[in-house]
Amino acid sequence: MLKTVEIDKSFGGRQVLEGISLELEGGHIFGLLGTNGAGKSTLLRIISGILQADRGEVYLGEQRVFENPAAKAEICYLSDDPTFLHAASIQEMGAFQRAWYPTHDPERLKELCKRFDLPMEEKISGFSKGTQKRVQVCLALARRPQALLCDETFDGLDPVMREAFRKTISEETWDRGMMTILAGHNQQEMEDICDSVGFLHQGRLTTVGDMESVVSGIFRVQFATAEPIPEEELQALHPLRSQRQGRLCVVTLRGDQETALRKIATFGPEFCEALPLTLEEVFILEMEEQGYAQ
Amino acid sequence: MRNKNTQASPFRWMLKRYFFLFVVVTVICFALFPMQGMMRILSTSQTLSRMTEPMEQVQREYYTRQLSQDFIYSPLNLEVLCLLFGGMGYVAAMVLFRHLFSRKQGMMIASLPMTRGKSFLLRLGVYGVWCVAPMVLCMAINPLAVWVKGLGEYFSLTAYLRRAGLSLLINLYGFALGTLSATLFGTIWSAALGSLLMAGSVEVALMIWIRFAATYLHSLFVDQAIRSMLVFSPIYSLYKSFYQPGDYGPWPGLVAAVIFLALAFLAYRKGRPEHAGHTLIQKKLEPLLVAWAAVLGGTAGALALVLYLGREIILYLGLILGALALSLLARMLLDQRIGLHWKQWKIPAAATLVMILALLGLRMDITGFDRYAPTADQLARVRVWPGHESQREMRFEDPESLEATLGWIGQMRQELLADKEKYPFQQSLHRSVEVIFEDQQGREVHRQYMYPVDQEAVLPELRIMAEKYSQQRSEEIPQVGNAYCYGSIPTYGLDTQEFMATFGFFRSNDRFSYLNVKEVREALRQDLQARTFDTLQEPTLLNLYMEGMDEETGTYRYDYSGYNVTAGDQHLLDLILGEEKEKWLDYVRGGFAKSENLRVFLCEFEEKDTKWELKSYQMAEDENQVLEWMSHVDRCEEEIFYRPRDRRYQVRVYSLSNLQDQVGYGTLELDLEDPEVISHLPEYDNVWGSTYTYVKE
Repeated sequence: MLKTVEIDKSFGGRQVLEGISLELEGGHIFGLLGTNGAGKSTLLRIISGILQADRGEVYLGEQRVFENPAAKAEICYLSDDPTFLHAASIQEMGAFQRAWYPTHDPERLKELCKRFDLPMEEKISGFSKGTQKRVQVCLALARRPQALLCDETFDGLDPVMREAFRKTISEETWDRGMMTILAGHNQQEMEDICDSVGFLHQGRLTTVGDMESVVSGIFRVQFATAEPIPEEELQALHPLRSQRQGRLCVVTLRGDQETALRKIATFGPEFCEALPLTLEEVFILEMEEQGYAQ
Repeated sequence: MRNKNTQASPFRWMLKRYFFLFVVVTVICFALFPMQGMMRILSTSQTLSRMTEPMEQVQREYYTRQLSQDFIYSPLNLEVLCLLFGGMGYVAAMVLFRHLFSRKQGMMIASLPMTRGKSFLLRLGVYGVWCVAPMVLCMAINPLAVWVKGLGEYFSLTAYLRRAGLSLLINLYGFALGTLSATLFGTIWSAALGSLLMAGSVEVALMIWIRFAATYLHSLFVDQAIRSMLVFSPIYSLYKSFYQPGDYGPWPGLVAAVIFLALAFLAYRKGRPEHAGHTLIQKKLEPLLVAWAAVLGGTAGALALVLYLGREIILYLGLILGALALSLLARMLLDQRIGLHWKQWKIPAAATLVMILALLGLRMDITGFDRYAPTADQLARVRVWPGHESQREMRFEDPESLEATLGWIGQMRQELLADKEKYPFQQSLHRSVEVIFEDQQGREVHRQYMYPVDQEAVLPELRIMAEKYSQQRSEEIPQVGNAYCYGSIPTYGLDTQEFMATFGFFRSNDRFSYLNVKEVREALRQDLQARTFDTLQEPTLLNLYMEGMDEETGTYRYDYSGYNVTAGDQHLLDLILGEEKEKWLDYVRGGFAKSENLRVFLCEFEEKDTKWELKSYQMAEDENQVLEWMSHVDRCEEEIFYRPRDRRYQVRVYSLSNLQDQVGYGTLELDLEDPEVISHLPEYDNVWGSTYTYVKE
């Protein structure tokens, strides 16, 4: 299990993370969505032991991560801007990993490079940014870490490669019980593969939960009544958003769907239908509620 | 097969990664030590095999020094070698810790499964293996070659190890400085600037402040204060001990290197990778850096303006402006942007205030520095150095001499305090005397006093002291293996040709090389004991120097102070000049005056608007008048300390042959055939001649 307890972090007096607590079980993929500058990268760097939290602690199983080589060896952080040794090839990076990580598997690296069409002898610095990201993921998977932290890793990959890597990471997570955190802005992708999700805004986790509960926690209901219902009665539903088009009402609500539908039934609707929201819509609504970009 | 020791693999990987350091260090060190050393060993071996005569002690010492101390045979001088050794260590540190200058690289290294402490120690290990080890190996080749060639008897392992060890220590200091800079500062340029600050800014600032202090504390002996301060300077101690191995302790340098490494270790462990790329990684040091910038700026600003304008108010103005300018610059560097930022203005303001208070404290002499007046019963001895130029130290221990000396010093202190009241800022022009008071416990207090050059305050005590001291020196003749001397006879207007015709040489030491040192020591001892104040005033004929391996300490010693051999030192003159002695004595004791080549004038001056102007002059009519006048002038270096100065009179000696040369070269436009011109020579300012101060008795 990967666990963060009440993480705080500030840079030069500016609070970047505040009270972040997370738990992630093996074999699960966690999606970390956040607004720009919310602190996603900082959080991942703290989890991987690169940065030290001002307060709070990160645990991998029972072990603290910061300044703990055994725990750090099991966590792999993939930066949004891949970094390699100066003028190194994949083979040299493999030798580097082999020296530092006991779990590094050279055969696995060869196999991944072959599968993703990467030349092992050439200098990585000569590759395109997308190819460098492919190299980064292959090197990470060859390490067979217990926890994989991806910071906007799939951005810049073509759709075919995105799909291939998504599949590989998913398989690796489920087969080996790896814990994966995907941070980024691609909600569709996260909705497809993540088991749970968290929204980060201004250094705080505003929403955390498994994907189904987060996505179904906010829903849209459209209904039509014979007579227009008074505004006060509509507002009594505490909608996040409401819209009227004549007798047709569309309301976005948070909470239990059955309860909401029972309340709406009291209006005597001629027609009533609950519509599911996408993760992106949920995220936008949550951020709006936080006052973001209002 | 993977090594089960988890630290071994990373270390091996790092060794492979930084192998180029080994190549670079080995190439440089091989060129400096074995390659050049071998050439020297081979040439020495060939010279010795050709030698048929038994070797003299001085030659043996020469070869021992060559093989044991001068093993770094190189066209580079010792200063450049110091920079090279230190520079290699510094660059090695910058290479090994360069990830700290890049945020991305810093993050990558921080993500590795290793504690920061171990990461630091691994890099230290790489430095040891790839930098120190090749240096040691290269240094080890020379002694091996010496022994293989059978030159072991000309090799002093102690002397060799001293200099070799110093080379390594300088390298370690460079490495430690580089490491600390890299761990404190987040960019290469700021690390370089930081290194300069850490390496020498304290010494430079203190040196300038000692100068400032001396403008208020008139008895402060600046050179001694600077020397005392530099004893604790890491850089200076390393340089001096490398220059003179065995004579100077490198401990401040060693201590600094250890402290730098310990601080770097702490900074590396506590450093935040997110600050890589910033001017300062350790943000907590920011106030300290701004304060130090203010101090340095204030110091430099005050110095620059005082040097230029030399007025007290300027000192304070320069201090404030300098502190302001450099603290602003530091602020801009820290923020990495140009503009006026008054953040943390209180720090430079406080630093400036402290400096102003320090100057006021010096002005008021709140410690009573200039009023220091010990009594004879508090002291074990007093040592006196009459003037900067003289290397002669006089020592007084018996109660009678102590009382006399303290009385004389008391007079000078009164003069000093009176002068201070008149000129609180800066000293007036006086002749200085350095005094060291030493108490029963061996503690020393240094002061510098002055006596006015124009006053008739001839100090008879000083004459007695000079005589006593001269005799005292006979007990301190160095036990070294080589003595030589230069001719130092006054020319009194003779030109080169005349001089060579008369004495067969012209200020050359060739004639006097390889003197028999045992005989020289004995003659010197006898002459020193026989010296009186009168013989001390005789003209100097020779400068005697002694150097070589000191039998007591086993180190090579240069006795730079030397001895002035005067016309009164009969034993030495007999030994060195033999039958020619009389010719020399005859010349300096009046023979010179017979020369047709001389034109001698007695000039009188008067003071007009703080300038001395020629009032009248008189040409010597005959040889007797020349001798009469010359008997009143200073004929030896020491005399200027024992006679009152009188600027009103001068004896000027012109050599006609020299004047003709000047006419020939076109630097002088005078008709030397014209007797009228000759008799008016002092009126021509650009005419070269020897000038002696005439002392009216």
